[in-house]
Amino acid sequence: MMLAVMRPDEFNVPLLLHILGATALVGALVTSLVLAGAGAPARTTFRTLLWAAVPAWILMYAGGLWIADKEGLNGSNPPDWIDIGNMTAEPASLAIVVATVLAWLAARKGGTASRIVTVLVAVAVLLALVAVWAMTTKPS
Amino acid sequence: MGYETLLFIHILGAFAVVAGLACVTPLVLGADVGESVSARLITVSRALFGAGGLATLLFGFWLVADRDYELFKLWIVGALGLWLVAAATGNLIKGPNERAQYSIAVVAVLAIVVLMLWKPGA
Repeated sequence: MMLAVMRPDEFNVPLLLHILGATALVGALVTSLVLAGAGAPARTTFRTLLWAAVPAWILMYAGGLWIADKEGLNGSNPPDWIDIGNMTAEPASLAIVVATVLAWLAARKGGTASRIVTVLVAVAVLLALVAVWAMTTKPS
Repeated sequence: MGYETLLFIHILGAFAVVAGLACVTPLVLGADVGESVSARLITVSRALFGAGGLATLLFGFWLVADRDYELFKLWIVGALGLWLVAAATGNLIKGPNERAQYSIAVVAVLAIVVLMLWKPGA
């Protein structure tokens, strides 16, 4: 019998926030992708991005910084999987912000979100999946 | 298959389960998106929820075997029970009328995440 992989209990709250943010982010992005791709009113896509994807990204990032700090991984030479997390989270945030603004502009005109919104959200989903792979398999 | 790959697929399944629930959230909240978009959201939700649920279960058992964990521990048995609750409720959601099932599925999934992190009884 092997004991389950354990970490100090004090690490669990920041890790829980990080995971809740990450799962909610992927959920919000996939929902936005379906809404934009299926031609839903841009207002719904905009609200999903603004009220779900943006706060989820903030929770994911803040939780990640907190747990990395607790584990002493925020130094000048972080492991590769932390670097990959940052290299995916930051461009994803840019894609989310631009998609949100474009969806807002389309919502003001009462139309549907443009193809660019769909592409930007799809890119953010792919970046998030790369981050999930890095966080899970922890290369190097 | 190595431990990291098993864990990745298990966790990817968990992300798919949450994404499946997320897809029906606009419908539960009463968003007026039209029939075709509603149908698309429900189809994607069921595909993600079903495939993700299956992946978490199968690769969860595989991880238990791979790591030589004891199956009858609170965190594993509790997660299996909550998985059944989520599976029984999460696939029924079509709109605001299923708000109760939606809430139960969300709470069950959240509780599974808490069990997987704190591992009570491990």
